[in-house]
Amino acid sequence: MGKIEYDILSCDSRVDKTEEYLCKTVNEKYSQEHAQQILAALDMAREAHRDQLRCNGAPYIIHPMRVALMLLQFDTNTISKILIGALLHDTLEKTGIKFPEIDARFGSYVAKLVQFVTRKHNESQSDQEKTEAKYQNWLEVIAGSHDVRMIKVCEDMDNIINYKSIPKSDPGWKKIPRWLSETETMSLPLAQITNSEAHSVMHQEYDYYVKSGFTDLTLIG
Amino acid sequence: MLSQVSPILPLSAKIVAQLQKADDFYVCRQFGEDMVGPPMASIDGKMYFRFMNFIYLPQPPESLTAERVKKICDVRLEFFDQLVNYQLNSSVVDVITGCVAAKHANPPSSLKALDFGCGSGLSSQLLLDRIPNLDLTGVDISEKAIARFQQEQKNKNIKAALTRVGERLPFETGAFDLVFAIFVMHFNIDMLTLGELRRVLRPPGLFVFNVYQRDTDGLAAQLEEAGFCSIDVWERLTHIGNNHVVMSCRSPAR
Repeated sequence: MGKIEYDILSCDSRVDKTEEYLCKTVNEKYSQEHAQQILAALDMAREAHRDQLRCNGAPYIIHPMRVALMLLQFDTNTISKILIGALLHDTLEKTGIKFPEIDARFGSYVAKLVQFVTRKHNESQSDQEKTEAKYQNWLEVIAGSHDVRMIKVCEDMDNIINYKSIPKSDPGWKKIPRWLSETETMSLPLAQITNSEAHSVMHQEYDYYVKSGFTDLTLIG
Repeated sequence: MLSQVSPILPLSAKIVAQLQKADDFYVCRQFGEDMVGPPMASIDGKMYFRFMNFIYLPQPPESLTAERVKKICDVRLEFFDQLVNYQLNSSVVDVITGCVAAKHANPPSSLKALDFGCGSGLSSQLLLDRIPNLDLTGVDISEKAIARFQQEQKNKNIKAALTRVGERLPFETGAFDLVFAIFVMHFNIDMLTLGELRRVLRPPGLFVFNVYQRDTDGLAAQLEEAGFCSIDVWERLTHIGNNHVVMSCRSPAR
């Protein structure tokens, strides 16, 4: 197999390339036993998110895969259970998977990691309630462990990198200013206390949006 | 905006007046029970985390890189008399050696032991006070700590070596019957080094350590992935607080 060209810090909606790069990296870094577990978690996440799309139209599974790849990029001490937690990080919040399933399949530590980054979420919440719920979860993550914080930082990072790929026709586009405000008040401070390199990259992304006028869409809309 | 009360509190004026900046963390110059601030605090609008009772770090201890850990350990040396609580160290080593006495099949005489993260040698000395026949070697990543160790221990028969993060430990496979890590494992030790600790520990040798301010499930997951087995919490030191525990694990038979 030739070298796979993949830049995790760029927008990329190619699911096949992302998966190919993830599998290659996992097989190189982990023992066969641990790699099998990670790929089983990828299968579980893919199945759970199969009918879901990201705001930019990409299949949802690309997000957990990219979060896993970011963990590998920023934290060389990422053990297999953290990577499994990253692949499953949205399953409790956004799919029918329940805590006992993750616990039974991948153990209590993975289930706990996923639960930590799961916030109370429903479609009837107002914007204010959504931000409050995010803030509550942020406080729990801050008081959690390095592993939890690292998953959350990478989750935020992938979201932030991909705001620019959201089409104006998607309802998500109008939420970008609120999300950027949350980046400033929550994601950047979290990244700062967790991983200097990730913080620096996130800051550059944030600056790009500010300079490009995304904090007030009336100026660019 | 956000209505919830934040647990990240500003420090009292009394503590702020005593803060001394060292690199990008703060040390409280006056030491005393009444000078212990909250676990998370804001200083000049930035988040800081209390480490020991008197140092505020810009990152929680387990998120620090090895370079930062080294800097903090050097500051700890500089303020050694004020910062290091001999009684606390002593009582933790009591529990650690109690664990060895209960779990090690042979009486600990003439056993080869490694003191991982030995600093300037306090932990090594406390271990030897309790198990006099230990053949003890200390390792640390701080040049200053090792220099101080060698200076203070020069008349005694304890060896100490400088090690570097990301490099193998300079010992044969299975060279030790016991590995200790005293006031070390609250830092996030890299997986290569954890694997090295397992390599140099002769099966079914014991690795015994204390840890606090850290999710022990996450640490147990790391140790398991580094190849250790029989990972247990030996004792919860509830009187100390901060989720302080003594844990042990073994190097499995190959």
